[in-house]
Amino acid sequence: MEIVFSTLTKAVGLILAASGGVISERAGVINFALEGMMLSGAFAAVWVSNATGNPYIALLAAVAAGVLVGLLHAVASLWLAVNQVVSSIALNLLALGVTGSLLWRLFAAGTSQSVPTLPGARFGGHSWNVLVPVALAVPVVIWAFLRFTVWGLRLRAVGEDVEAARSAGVRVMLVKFLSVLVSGGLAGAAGAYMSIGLLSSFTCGMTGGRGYMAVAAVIFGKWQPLGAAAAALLFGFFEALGETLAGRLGLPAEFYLALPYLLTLVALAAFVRRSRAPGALGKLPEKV
Amino acid sequence: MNWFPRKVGWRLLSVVVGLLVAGLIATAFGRDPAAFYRALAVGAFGSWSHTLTTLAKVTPLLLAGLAVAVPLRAGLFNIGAEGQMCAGALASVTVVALAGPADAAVMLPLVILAGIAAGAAWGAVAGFLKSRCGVHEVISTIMLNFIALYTVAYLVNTGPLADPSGVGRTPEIPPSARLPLIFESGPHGLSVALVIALAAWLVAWWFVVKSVTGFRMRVAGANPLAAGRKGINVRRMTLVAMAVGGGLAGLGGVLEVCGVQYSLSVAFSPGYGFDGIAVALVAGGYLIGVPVAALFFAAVRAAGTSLQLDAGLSPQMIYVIEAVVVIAAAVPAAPRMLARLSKQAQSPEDVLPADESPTGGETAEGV
Repeated sequence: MEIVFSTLTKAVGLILAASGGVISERAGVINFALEGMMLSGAFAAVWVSNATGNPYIALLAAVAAGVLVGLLHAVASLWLAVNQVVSSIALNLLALGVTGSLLWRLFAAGTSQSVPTLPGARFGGHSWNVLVPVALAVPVVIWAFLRFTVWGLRLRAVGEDVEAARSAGVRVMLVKFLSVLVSGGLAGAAGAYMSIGLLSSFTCGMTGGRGYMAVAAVIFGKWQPLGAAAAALLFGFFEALGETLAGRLGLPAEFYLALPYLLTLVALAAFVRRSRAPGALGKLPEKV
Repeated sequence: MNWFPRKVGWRLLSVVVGLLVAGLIATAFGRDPAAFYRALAVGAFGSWSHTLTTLAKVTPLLLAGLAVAVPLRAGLFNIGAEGQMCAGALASVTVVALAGPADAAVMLPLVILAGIAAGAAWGAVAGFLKSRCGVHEVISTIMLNFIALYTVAYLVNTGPLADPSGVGRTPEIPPSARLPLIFESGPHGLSVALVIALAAWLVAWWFVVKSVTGFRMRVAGANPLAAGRKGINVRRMTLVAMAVGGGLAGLGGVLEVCGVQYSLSVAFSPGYGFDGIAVALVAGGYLIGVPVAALFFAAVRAAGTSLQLDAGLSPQMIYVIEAVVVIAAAVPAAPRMLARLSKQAQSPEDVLPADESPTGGETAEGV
């Protein structure tokens, strides 16, 4: 039973970030910058929580930080037409640099001090804060949004066939722009979950590739919001597995740390044969 | 000189932009920008030993840059240079540990070949996963980076390669496995590693630009559908590209161990693999420009330590500079704007939305 709880707690961040990834990629914008968005959100949460003492304001700050990174990605890749993969990776580097530099400036160390965390109910040996039900609800909301609303349809159209969407009168660039911002906000919240939800401080580079795992979850979940959430749950399980097994099988500690990455890779390799990316992923409308 | 603004000019400009932004941040942090730039220049080239340090850093950065640039010509983003360098470094210390006492003439070639092979194998894993299983190389290489890192961590901290005194690295490699030095200045030195790296650069350049396989690789990268119809095995080209990239990074790892550090610790690379991404993109994916880009980042890295002391900035600043430079260098419209600004005679090429950079536009297969 413990492993179920562990899985859930580890998966919340991944679910939020992966949901953001789904929105962005379904609108046709490649978003590998979830890592940088999460990291920025994590840092902003710690900074503001330290400054104000209020973790909920810190959570909002984290969302804002994620949106900011999303804004940079949107400006670079949609307006300046920088290749979306290059832009994503550059932003991840930028986030690493900026958060690291600010960390040293504010706390003069590689790790921040302990800050106020999101309050939560204690159950089964874990603390469940407000982001947990949010993470469970978000994929369903996105699914409903994409399936049943007009704007959801527009988003999907933009992601499948840019020219068709445009000729139907959809404001393609606006839709893409907004979806990247939303994905940033969600990923920022995911980062906050890590730094003031699961833990109580920020360490340089603490997201440790989880943003990329979120992208993997999007792909593994075939770009569907519910599928991606399920995939994120699975990857959360990999992490929980690593933690639970540590010290039991007589293998070195580093093996369990590497396990989630290894299993993510295996999952992608074994099961992603037939999935179909959104038709216009990565493409921008032709200049008229 | 018509090509100058397009191929070189705006890359220089992006470097300048990166430095400007760094100066801005320094100011925002309350430092004097003039002092900042002076510290950069002095830290990189201010004295003979500083210059040697800078040049010594060119080796890993050049190879990491090549490790990213070669697959880039095949349309692949190799973010795994860090892990591939680890693989190469690991192979080198393993060979040293297993081989026992041996002559340098035997040891060095063996160690270097082992490093290249290990890096190539690690890159080939990602290549295989992409070509056979459709796994996007950005994700696979990042996962592989972490796996490599933890493998090294285990082996040199508590595993069979660790130094018995438990300091978190392997024992120092014997003199027979160390590369001879060309210049020395106190504790700083420059070994033949740089020469080897430059030779590798020439080989890589010849491979990509002049060889048949390199040509096939570039065609496969530019238009996989057309390439397939012309009989090019796109899957094999993916594998080859990633293996070559990995091999170059592996060489970088070996040269770091045998030329500079003389042992392997977890902290052996301060992120050279990621710097390589910036190096390759600043050079626009053109292998010709990689050494110069590598020199720039080597200077920044070398100056980084003195920057920290003088200007009170953190080592993470380099990532900010890299990110800005990468984005600035990757804007497709920049060369046209620059050509117009410099009032060169406008050829039709300048006006058409020609995409000459291998990084422009979208990857042909989406994600």
